[in-house]
Amino acid sequence: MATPEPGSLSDAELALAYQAGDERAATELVTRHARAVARYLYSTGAGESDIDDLTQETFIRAFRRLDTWRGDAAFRSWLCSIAGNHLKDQYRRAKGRVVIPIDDRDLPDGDDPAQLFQARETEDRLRRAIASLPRLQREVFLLRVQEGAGYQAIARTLDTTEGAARVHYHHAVKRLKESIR
Amino acid sequence: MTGTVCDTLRDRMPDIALGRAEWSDDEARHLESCAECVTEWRLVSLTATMGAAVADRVDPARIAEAVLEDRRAGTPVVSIRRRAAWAAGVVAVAAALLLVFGGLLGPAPESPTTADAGWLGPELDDLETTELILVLDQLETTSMDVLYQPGASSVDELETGELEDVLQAWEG
Repeated sequence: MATPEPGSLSDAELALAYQAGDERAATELVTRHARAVARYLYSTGAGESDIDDLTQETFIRAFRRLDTWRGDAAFRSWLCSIAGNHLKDQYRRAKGRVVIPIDDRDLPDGDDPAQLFQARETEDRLRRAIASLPRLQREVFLLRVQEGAGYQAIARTLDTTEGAARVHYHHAVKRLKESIR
Repeated sequence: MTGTVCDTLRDRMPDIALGRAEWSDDEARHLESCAECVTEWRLVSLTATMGAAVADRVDPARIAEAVLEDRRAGTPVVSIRRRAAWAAGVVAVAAALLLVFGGLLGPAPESPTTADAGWLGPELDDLETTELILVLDQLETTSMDVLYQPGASSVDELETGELEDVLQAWEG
């Protein structure tokens, strides 16, 4: 029987395939989720120049403990949780400093300089606000909004309850709204 | 519109921002008239697309290769900075334990002062809990053999307060 192409397998099947020795499965898992992890890190306040290293370190950490991934939580959400922990460690080492570079940022193209400036300002404010949220609020909010994860999946990933996840999301939204008014 | 309509609409925002669903006509009309929902929709849609260009610059093939190299090696990749932190940590713990156990065993001539060890302290902030435990374990099996004498305490016998004293001693 022919070996299935990694691209046709689910995350759980890829994880099993990698653990059985298929390195292509690891490459597929990284390819599938690297951008999402990078966006998550960027949104939580990581500096643009650090995104590549932080993303790589997140995957290295994840694969070192791949056997601890509970298949009931989405692999991407699990990765984001590891990314969040890694970023927290980085902040701790930097003694709590949160540095968000103000140049060369990811912003939509636009011809109107005033509009572009305003968009940059809004994104800066929003990233700072997200970075300053309590950790669970931040992670619930980003898993919900960037990954489209349901509360049940978020609760499993972050080891909390569905009700608590809803409350964290509600509080996060309430605080973040103020940053973009 | 009632609060329930707002709640339903807000619950659907992530899926719509990610292109997995669309607004119904009623929902679209509601969005034109509810300022709170408009603000939340702006927040959700901004966040849903945030960082897309940054993510495009990430190279998954290179990351995958780094992951595989790490796994083939089977040992954690430790940065130079981290190794330095480890080394500083080991030295600092040794110095602190000399202070504590030296004191327990009697006055030691010319023993190092807290200020002497203090410069190393902040490096220990960089260590994970598990790494600190490893440092202590290592000292138990190596340096402590030199220090230990009959009747003296071991690290395992220290109370929490005494361990905190050890930490404070090297943090100055």
